Amino acid sequence: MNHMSATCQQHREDLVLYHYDELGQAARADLEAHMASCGACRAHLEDLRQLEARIPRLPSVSLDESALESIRDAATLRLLDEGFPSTPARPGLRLVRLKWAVAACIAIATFVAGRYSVGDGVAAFDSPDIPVLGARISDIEFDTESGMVQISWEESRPVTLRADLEDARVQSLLSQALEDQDNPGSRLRALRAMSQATLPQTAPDPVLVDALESVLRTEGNEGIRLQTVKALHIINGRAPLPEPLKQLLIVMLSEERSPAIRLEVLQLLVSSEQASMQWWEALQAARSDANPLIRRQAESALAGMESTQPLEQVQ
Amino acid sequence: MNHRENELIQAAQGGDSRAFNELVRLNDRRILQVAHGILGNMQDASDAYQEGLIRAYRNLHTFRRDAAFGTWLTRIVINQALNLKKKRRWKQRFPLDDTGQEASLQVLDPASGPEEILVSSELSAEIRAGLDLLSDRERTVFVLKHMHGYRLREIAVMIECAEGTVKNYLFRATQKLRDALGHHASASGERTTSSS
Ligand SMILES: [Zn+2]
Repeated sequence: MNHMSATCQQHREDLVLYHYDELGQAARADLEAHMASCGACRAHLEDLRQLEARIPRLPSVSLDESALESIRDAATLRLLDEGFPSTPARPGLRLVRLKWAVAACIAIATFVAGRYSVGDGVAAFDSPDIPVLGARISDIEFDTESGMVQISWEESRPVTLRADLEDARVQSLLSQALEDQDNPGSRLRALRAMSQATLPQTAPDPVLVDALESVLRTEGNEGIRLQTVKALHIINGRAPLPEPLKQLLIVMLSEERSPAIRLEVLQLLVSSEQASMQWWEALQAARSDANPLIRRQAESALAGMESTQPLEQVQ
Repeated sequence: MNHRENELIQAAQGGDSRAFNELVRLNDRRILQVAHGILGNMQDASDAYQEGLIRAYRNLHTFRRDAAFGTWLTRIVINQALNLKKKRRWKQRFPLDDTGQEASLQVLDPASGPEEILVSSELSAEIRAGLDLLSDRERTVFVLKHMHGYRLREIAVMIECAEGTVKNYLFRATQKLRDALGHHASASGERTTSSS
């Protein structure tokens, strides 16, 4: 290496290309001819091969499926914030299609005047019990301090409503936001507001639960699906779930691709579920989930079931 | 470029987000691994990847199919990774931490989820120290060529420079690594006889 000839100098870059099989035919023949009579260049090639043995020709990290899914979920949420349109649900999960019109009708029928306070500098309601169906919702936030949801939308002018989650108008607006498939950003904001809210003391609002169920049936985006299950957990609390929703969640427990969603579904089912043969079977299946956290939680839910009631009763 | 990819690109450019997602899913693992190779940890790699994805989504209309979608997306993410690397430069003034271990990473859903995922580098501390001696572009070219086996002409597209420049980066990267890691091997007499 100390007495490197000019020819060798010229060949050094070619040696690297030769090593990585990126040298053209002519240059390759040229180099091989030179190496036949040059020990220094042969040694240099040997050094490169030595490097090969030290640094494997493999990615610097292996990414397992669950790590990848978790990064995908995070990326999805970022994209949604950027106005990325949501994707429709995978066909396997469309068991019973709940038409949004049904939920909207319920929203009108169950509408009652709630408690309101109107944000500073924004127009107040002239008549707080007029339903606001079809509003273009621009923002939804949850204020953890006051426990109020703040929703802004456009009617003939910008309007902001601040009220708690038990407020019927808030529930109606949140349902609308969830329904709006053209605006995944507002869907996501509604879900986030609900996920941050504290557990309502009252019975879960059936309209919101229905709206959340319909999101699960129509939304393909995993970030949104995850948020939806979280919001359901908050909204539903420990109350028993409506039967069709329970069926859907049991399917999701085995079908969802994202372990984060499966885990959230499991936790929701655990906190709301009364013992049934079907539930026991779903838990048995979850014991062999790919994700260790899910396996562990399924085990402990099963253990809990078996300690509180004899298995014959479950069956 | 294959027919399926062509269809997906057409659909994605027409606003079909599912097609965009599918295109991304076909490429994301490898792109994340490339970003990890450049940045050295998964948290930064994931950040660069997400930034890149947003840019790709915004600029999808400018994609002209003269390269594969994966190459195009890789180029955008590499760009983000190199920018992030610049921002992180001050950190690199300090050598690896005492243990030489890359901290195992918890990728957590920002809205709080109980899921915990461990990702750790396949590389030894010594090799990572060697890679840290390279300039950002030398390292990028080395990662793309050595670890991922891309052709030089693809790498030229990905890092937006001439093929001759890529050759030069690769040459300098291998020389530096040979100097940094080679001595140890020669001294301990581990040389293997060349075959193949
Ligand atoms: Zn020579």
